[in-house]
Amino acid sequence: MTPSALEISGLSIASSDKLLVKGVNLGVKHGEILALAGESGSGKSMTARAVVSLLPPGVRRLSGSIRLGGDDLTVMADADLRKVRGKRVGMVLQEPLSSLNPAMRIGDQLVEALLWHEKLSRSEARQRAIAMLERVRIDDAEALLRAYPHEFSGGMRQRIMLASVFLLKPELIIADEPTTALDALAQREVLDLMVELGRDSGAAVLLITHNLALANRYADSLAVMNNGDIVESGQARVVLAAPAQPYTRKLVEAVPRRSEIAVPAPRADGDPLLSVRGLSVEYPARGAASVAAKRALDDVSFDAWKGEFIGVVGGSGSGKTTLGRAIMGLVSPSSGSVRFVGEPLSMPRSPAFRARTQMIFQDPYSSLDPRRKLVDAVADPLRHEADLSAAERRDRANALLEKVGLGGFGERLPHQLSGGQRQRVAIARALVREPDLVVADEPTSALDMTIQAQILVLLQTLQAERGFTCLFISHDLAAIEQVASRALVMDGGRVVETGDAGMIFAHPAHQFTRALVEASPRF
Amino acid sequence: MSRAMLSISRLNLWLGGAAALALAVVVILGANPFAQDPFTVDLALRLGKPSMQHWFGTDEFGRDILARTAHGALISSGIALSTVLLATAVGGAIGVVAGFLRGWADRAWMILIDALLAFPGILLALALVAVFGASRWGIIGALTLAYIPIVARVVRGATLSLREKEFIEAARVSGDGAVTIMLRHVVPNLAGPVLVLMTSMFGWVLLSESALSFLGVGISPPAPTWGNMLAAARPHLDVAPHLAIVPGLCITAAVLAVNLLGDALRDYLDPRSRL
Amino acid sequence: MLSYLAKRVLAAIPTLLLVGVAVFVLVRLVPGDPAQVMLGDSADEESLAAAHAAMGLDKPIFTQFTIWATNALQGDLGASLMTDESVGTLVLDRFAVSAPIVLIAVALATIVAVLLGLWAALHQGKAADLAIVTGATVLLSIPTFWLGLMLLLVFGLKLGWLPVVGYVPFSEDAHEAIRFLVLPSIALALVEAGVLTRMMRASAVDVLRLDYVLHAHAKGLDDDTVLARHVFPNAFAPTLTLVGLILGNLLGGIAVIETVFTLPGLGRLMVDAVLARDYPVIQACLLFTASIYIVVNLVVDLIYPVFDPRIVNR
Repeated sequence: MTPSALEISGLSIASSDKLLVKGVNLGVKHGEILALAGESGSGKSMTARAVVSLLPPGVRRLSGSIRLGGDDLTVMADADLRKVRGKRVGMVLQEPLSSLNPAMRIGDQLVEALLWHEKLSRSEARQRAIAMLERVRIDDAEALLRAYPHEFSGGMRQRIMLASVFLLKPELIIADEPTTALDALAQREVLDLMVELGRDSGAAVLLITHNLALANRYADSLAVMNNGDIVESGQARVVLAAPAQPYTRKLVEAVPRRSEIAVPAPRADGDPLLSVRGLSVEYPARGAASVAAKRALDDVSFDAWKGEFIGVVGGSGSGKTTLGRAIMGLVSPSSGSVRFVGEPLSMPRSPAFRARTQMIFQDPYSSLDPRRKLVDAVADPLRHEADLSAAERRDRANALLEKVGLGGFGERLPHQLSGGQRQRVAIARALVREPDLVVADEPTSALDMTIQAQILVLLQTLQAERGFTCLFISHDLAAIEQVASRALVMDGGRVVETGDAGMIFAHPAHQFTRALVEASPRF
Repeated sequence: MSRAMLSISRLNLWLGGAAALALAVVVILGANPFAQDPFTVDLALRLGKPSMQHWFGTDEFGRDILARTAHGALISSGIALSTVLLATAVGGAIGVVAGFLRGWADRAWMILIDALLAFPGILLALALVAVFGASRWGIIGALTLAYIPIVARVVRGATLSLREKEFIEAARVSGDGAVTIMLRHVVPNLAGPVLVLMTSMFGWVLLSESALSFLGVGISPPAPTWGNMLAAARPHLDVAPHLAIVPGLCITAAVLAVNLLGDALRDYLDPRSRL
Repeated sequence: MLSYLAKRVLAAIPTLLLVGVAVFVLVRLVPGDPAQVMLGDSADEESLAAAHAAMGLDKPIFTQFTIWATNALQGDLGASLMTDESVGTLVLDRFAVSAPIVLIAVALATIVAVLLGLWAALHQGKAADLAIVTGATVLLSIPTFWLGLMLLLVFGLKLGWLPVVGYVPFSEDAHEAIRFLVLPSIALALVEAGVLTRMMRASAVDVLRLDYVLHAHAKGLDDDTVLARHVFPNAFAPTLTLVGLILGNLLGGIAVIETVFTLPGLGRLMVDAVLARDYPVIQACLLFTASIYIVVNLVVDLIYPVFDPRIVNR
């Protein structure tokens, strides 16, 4: 048996006041992909950063050994460690938008480590970089080398990052949530590429992720971390098919999946509640006047009936968020019309429309006014109901807070709440005037897996109970499949496919939908 | 990280508190009913060294420096406070309305403000003093007009980033109008940063006012200000350096105190340092 | 890139125009009669009226502005009411005194600030950081003119190392000219170094937190290389903007330093003009410094993309 590429034993890491990693043991073999999965704060990233001794300030390794191909990294001198970093261990970080230096040309960043570790001339390094870029199927490598990172999308930057890391043919790749910030299609592209490059070079890969579906698709083995401990590990498919530990079970259950029974679609009879016709939104061109205005939304039409749960799915830049904002009157359409209960809507939206519609936003950290108590935040929309006293408004707000599981939280301020709790408050605020239509714009994408599952269930339950129409916008196909009865698939500002959610995803007709379904990891 | 910031913040608080306390002692010693009169001339005591009678010595007319320094503190801080309050009220209102409503009014205001900001340093105040005259209110008026563009700029920037927040959009989709949103959500959230700005501005205005006095276009003698005391001390620097040292130390202590307290305030209000 | 440059240059034009209007209006608001100032209190009605006509003050205000603006665009800013010298020449002569002081001061301050700011950010929370931050805060709280007075007291009067008052132009004796510039430059530099150091430290602290710095370390680069290639350029961008603002601001703020060291510079010219109500000189000083300010900041805008190429596409 070949020795492990990476062997961690008894690793403990602590910050000044807290034990972050508690005696972790891990091994990754050559050519193997090990997924280290867990929720935020589980210690998975700290474990990864400890391998190359790049822990954040104030955090240190207490004990344990880390062996890379037989060499103990924990006893190495700084100068020797620097020869390991980049050369023998490559690292891919989470945020493609911030992991490349914005002030340096891509070419210089690509060859930087190569020139540092190997005796090469600049032109030799350049040749190697170009060959690598061609290997990762990037066209016009020459032009790319001269460009700056901000000129590229997140997915493209992550491919550039992979190219730069694999240029040195390291024995071990540490990928820390490399695709969390990307949409399903870009995620697939980047991870497929990483697997391919890893197989080619025989490198071991330590993939840090919070997404078990990704682990299921890409990893050979899996270790699940919680609170600094590894709670379960083994062959990825075995662990995920039959989790032995309750925590792993909870995580597995939280992964959104197609309902066994299709979500019942309400009968679409009578007049639609919402009717969108030929809706387009253009954002004015930035910079030079010669650049054409960007069409964020392009001739979108659909109807929504009372009590429907409609999922809107698409990649980043597909126009799904703009659709929700245009319906709510937060952006002005350049053409087309929106009707609500048969009435055409104008800009700005009428108080009558505001009284019957609401919105839930994506970022739980910016959707609540940091200076308003929760009860006031929830009660605020009720100020438009003339016949309610202040006390009545508060009573209704408190009742609703209790309904979303935050009874007794009314006097708190947002910063005292977790992300999931904040999103519950946002739901309560949206429902307090008992609207007929709720637009939920990626309400779960900023949350941890298990919290995401709870919020989805809460939204689903409240919708079934109160019968409002919900337009649920998400990049997460699985979440849409779980909650929506009907789906709109969007790409490039257009609706490319629409119909019964279960049907669409089981038998996608449009090629974009097919690509999306294929790219979305599932169980 | 947070511990490091805390210790700087604590040091700021101590140093700033100490500087403020030292100034308070000077004011109490120099401007109480039993203290020396700041205007009594005694030519026999010209440029006197510090003594039991005159703790900080006497100036070129034999007037008590401690008393003049203390009265100067009251005049200067009165001017600074009025300027800060007026400039914040007017500049803040312009900044919030322009930043929140955007559109042509915002663009027009910003061109005007950029043009006013192009007059470097105290030049604008200097020219305005020529318009308003070198009285106390003339100087307050000149400094207020000179600082309004700065406040408007900062407040507009903060408002611009606030209005992109989702809780503002949540208020809009609830049917709240612009005025309601500004009063209920924007202004309360600006309170912290504006308070920090006001603190720093108090220091800047103190410096500007003393510079104007030093140049001879501020409050004119015999009324004492730190700036005109320094101007008067300049010719006697060789023989009586204490004339220049005392008021200069006072300005530095006053500006340092508000700067440090402003830093401590910002650290306290900044959610990042509270994490 | 070209469109970015063009946009910046075009954006400066309305500001310049508005500055011209503001200068004109401001000076018209000053109470008092320029003719009276020129002729003295004893002038009779007739000669005042003649002077008004000569200066164009009897024409409608809008016509006055057009005439003034047309002349100003051709470089003719009128003559001083006091000395009858050409205001244009006067301003340029005095600017030649102020400019080297300001440039030396800002260059010194920037170098000191970059070094100390980076050092403090790297040693965040340690004693060195505390000392640098506190020292910088103390420096920026000192009035420039008092610091000048104290430097004068110590190095000029007590130690006698440097001349106390006066000025020698570079053209006459370069060595002597530098000796006269040392103290004023240092006084300005120290105070501005305080402001810049804090800025540099703050942005370096922000940059050090970013992923690309971690990634640079993960490539195996040593600390100095990471600092020079990845931290410095990104942390310097916001500081550069501030350097531009300070460079422009100092042209106004230098008045106090010129008073301390009795230098015949631009700031002092303006103060004397205000005291003497010499309107053409006030106008010219305001217009000139504001234009320099706008040009300096334009130059900063044009250099900025070197440190942050993202700005070009915004």
